[in-house]
Amino acid sequence: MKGLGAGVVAVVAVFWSCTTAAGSDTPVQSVIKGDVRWRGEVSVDGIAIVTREGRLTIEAGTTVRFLQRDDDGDGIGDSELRVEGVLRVEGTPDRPVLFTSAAARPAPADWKYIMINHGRDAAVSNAVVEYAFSGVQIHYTRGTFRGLVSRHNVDGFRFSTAPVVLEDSLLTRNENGIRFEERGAGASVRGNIVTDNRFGLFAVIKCEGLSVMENNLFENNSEYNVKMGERQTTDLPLSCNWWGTSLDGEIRASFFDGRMEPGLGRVLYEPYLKERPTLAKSP
Amino acid sequence: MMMKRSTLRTLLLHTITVAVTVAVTVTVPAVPSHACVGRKLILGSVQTGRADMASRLLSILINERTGTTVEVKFFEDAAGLLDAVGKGKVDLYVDHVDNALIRMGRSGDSESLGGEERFKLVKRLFDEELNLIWLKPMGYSGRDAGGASLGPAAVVVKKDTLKKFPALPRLLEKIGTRVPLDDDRLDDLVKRAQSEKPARVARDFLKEVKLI
Repeated sequence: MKGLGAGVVAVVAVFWSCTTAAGSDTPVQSVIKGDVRWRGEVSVDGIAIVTREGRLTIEAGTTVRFLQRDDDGDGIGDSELRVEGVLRVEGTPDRPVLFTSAAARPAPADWKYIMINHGRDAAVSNAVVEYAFSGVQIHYTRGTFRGLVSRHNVDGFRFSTAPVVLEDSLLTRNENGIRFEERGAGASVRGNIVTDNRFGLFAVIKCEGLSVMENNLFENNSEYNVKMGERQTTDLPLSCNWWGTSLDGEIRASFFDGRMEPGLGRVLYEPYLKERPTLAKSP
Repeated sequence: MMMKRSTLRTLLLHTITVAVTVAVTVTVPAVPSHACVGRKLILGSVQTGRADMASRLLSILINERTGTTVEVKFFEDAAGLLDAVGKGKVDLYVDHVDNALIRMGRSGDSESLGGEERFKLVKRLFDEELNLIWLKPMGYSGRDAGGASLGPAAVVVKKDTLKKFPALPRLLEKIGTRVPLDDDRLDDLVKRAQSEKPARVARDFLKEVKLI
């Protein structure tokens, strides 16, 4: 009985420290060092960090709300989830995990991002991420993302130097659906719907064709389906995708690449899918 | 006894875990955040219609072509902007050749020089004395409140910034070389911005000339 009592006290202490820290002069970061599970309603005001030795598991049906705060006045919200250890998001198709803004009238960049940087591992299933600067950013970390819906962000899904798997996901109504820099690490991007963004895919720099990106659906992206960054001079293999049309000229016109700007790499889009595939996620 | 302690410890840990997971609301404490969103540039500008439009063109071009976030900081007047430049608080801004030479106390020396020589002079002075690099002129001339010319406009960038963003000159000099932004063109954009959103006008123009 003493053990049980101590356990309850410990939890209360955790809550007590959280609430007091929020209003203190020297705020304390929320640091997850051990094995922690989130479920129900979770509010993040500031930075929640999963340290190298930490492991955060978020159960199906959980809603994580990021409070709107802009400490540096740059117009981008500063609440975030930062992962250096392990992240497990265990949503299901019927009960996804929702990461969203706590604002009454949410808008893109209300909060910063889920940032997985030099993390140990990340596995995300059936999650919705919205109204962030970047829905998900992953760097220098292996990660698997399936059934992700990233919408109303500046960057829907952003990765660099990360051998990630992104499958069966929906990237929609972002500035950039997918933004990436390979920098020597190949990713697997398959079976995704990338639609109604300004740019479907933004290859910023140092993408050398190491990634496999096929059987994706790129359509209705208002500016371009693919945009090459100013210093992306290497061609990008992107065959076996659907580009919203089966007309060759229209497909090419949906790329901002070396065909439009001399010096940039070209999108190697042939052979391409002639019919719109049926994929797991639908807008 | 050892077994009992172990069982108790396991039970305690399990209780903590369960207690956390059944919580309805967990509030993670506030903490000031200064984590970056990737690389960010500060572009300084005064708030006149022409300067505003030029700044929007530059910031959109940088952001669209490199993915770098550009924050445009507006100043009430040129004095405020130049003070911030002097303190290293902005990465780049638009300056004007003749006006800059006057500020450097070299207007007398440069009176006999042609336009190209004056540009070379101001470029050298800023590089040597201020660690600021002038890019090639954009095509239009600045004007003061009375409409008098301040000389050709050009982007000026901190030397340190160029080390971090080596692609900037090649990119920004497309305005002025590939797509001259002369006075008429800029005035037309400013006029259009009176009835449309300025950012929209700037973006449409850059798209029209195939820079984005």
